[in-house]
Amino acid sequence: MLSPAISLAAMDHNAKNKSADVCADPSQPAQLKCAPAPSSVFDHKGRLWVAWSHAGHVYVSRSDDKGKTFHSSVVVNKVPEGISARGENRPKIAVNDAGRMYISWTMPLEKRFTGHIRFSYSDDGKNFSEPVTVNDHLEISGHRFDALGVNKKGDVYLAWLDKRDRDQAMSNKEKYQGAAVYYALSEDGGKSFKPNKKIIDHSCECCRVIIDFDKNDLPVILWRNIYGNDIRDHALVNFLSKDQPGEPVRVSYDEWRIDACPHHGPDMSIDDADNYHLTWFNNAPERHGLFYARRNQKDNSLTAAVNFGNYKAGASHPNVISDENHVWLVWKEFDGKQESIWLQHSTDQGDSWSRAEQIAVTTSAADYPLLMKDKDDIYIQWQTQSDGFRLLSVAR
Amino acid sequence: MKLFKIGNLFFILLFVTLSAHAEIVLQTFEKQTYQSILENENQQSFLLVLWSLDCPPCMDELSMLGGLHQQFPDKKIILVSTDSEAQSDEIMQIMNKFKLTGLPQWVFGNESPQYLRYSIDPLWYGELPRSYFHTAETRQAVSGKLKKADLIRWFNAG
Repeated sequence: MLSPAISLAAMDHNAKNKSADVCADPSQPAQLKCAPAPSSVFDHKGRLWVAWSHAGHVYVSRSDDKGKTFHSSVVVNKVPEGISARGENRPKIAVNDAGRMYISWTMPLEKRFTGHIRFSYSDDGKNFSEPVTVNDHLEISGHRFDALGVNKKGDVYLAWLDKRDRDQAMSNKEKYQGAAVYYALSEDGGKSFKPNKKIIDHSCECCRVIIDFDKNDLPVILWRNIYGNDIRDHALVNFLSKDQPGEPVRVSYDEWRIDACPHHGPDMSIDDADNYHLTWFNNAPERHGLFYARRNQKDNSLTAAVNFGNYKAGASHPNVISDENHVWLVWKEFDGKQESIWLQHSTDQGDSWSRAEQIAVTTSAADYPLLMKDKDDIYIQWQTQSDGFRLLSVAR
Repeated sequence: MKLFKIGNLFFILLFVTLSAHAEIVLQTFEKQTYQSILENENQQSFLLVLWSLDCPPCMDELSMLGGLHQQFPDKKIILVSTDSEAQSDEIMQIMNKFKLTGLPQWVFGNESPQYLRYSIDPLWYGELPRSYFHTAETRQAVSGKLKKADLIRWFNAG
């Protein structure tokens, strides 16, 4: 039983006012509790920063008391523009130890399935740089599903799903499955980006992309790939050096054959010993549901993928975080009446797991649960229509 | 005379535009809607197709369905967009583009999409396109783009 190990503190700064009615009123000002898909991060001082969007603006909100109260929100992009914020898409936020803050988002363009990768930074969380477009292919094409990562040295990486090669192939009347994964590196803290580079052709085209960093502070990127004609399994890439990706490797073997948009991306957390903790969803007839596997630092071998969550209760959208020997998994379920988030904990690097524990419920629409770290403390971000932004504390 | 012709053309275009839109009645899909559809269809065969504006393969499928709808105008296809009512204009543009006007059209209402998905099928995880082939006795779920040959076989059989 996991419950003794979990201290649940639903620190809901707006608990008393149910959000749904307020959020439906267009005359109301922008409010975090109404945001569809926020992201958050703790800085090295333990302050919580949340990036969210409303009516064409990305906002940043700061909390000094772990999400109980927030300072006034700050606008990132002064000129309004499209901002993708739904399910797999959301504004991203990262903060380095010097306090520089980095924000990215996808700006959808007028033509369907197109967009630009946008980026801004700030040294004080109040004044943000003029947003720039990071994709150096500026045609009206798909540059979407941005992932943002900043390492300890302050190198900024953005990775995304890119359709420039697909468009080129189509104009030559050639077939092209899915999209490509591209990335861009900034070595000057986000002031400028090096030319975009391609990691792989034929990724799935509507699932989130994930970045984390290995022990050498090099990025590791994870995404849902297309193998063969229509198998949607997952791949990751290590970097050989700062701006040189290696050969992508396949990390899931569920053989989900589907020509569709799963809208259901993977997640990854790299621990201090350089083991990669991976989680994903697949829905093949034989192998379906949520999966966890570890890629071992010692020999790059993969542990056998294990199922978790209740498939019949719609277990979905898993998230993982690791710290020393600890690994936590969180995900969503739905029983026909309420959405719930569930947690599983391992104290031996994912070799064995506690029983799944229900953490919180809502009868309203709900975002994915997202895990984050504040030094040694673990939190779950969960945005719901009924209760707005919630931060749930998870003890070891 | 020239002015008159341009004026005629304008009214013809306006009429075509209006009449194309007029055929589309985009209804709000709520928790009870799926059960109502089943009752209304009264054990007749029909194909229910769920799609969304942010799903590239859905566009291929809708394009194909548009062609088959011309070929098999009597076969019942019900379309459900999992977008929101705020996107009704875009949905209607797509329906016009693929000549799917005249078919029953639904768009997810304000309730949680999770509830609405569950009301159709607790084991549907939201992947799109998602289709349900209904007969009086059976329902077959298919995730992903349908194959034209399978659809033609289904239409011919039904």
